Amino acid sequence: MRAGWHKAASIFILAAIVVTAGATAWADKKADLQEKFKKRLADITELKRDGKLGETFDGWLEAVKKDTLDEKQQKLVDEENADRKELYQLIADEEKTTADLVGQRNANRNYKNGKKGEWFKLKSGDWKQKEKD
Amino acid sequence: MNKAIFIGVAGTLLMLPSCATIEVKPIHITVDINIRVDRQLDSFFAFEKDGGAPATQPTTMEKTEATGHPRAKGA
Repeated sequence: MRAGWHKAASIFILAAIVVTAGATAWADKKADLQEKFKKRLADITELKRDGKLGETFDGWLEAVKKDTLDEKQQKLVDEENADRKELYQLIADEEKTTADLVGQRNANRNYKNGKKGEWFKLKSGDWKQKEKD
Repeated sequence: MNKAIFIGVAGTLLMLPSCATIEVKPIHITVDINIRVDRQLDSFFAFEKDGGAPATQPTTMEKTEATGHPRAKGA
């Protein structure tokens, strides 16, 4: 009887350790991603103000006109989107939904927080400039 | 005849609430997920709110140094 309780307690403790470790790893991953986003923010904001970069309807950063970015700027966009992809999946896993939905919600958020004059890509593929803050 | 109509109406009324629940539930769940995802994104990107400020700071500092004016005491 006592051995049975010990076994149950051991399984419970093991499960608690696994869950806690998983949650910690998830939080660490998010914190790492947040740091990377923070480092890129000033450059991305500047390129958006210059009209070179815009936000798409499904949550990605993109050049408003093709072949207008230099190598460094294109690298910035690629890194941003790679980290966004990872973030969308992390949130989707936690909320039991899809990364696509998280991307669309982030696109809405980006549009809401976007400044006047910034570019946004519509579902049709056309780019439109925001008229109001 | 009247009894049959009464039973029919009563039966329909009894069925209505269950029909309404089936139609409303998925909408409620979708909204709930959207709200939860929005909260996660708002919390994660909270740093963006003061993101524009650092870009102008270095320029201002350079200009101040370029003027060569000594700083006031205690400043």
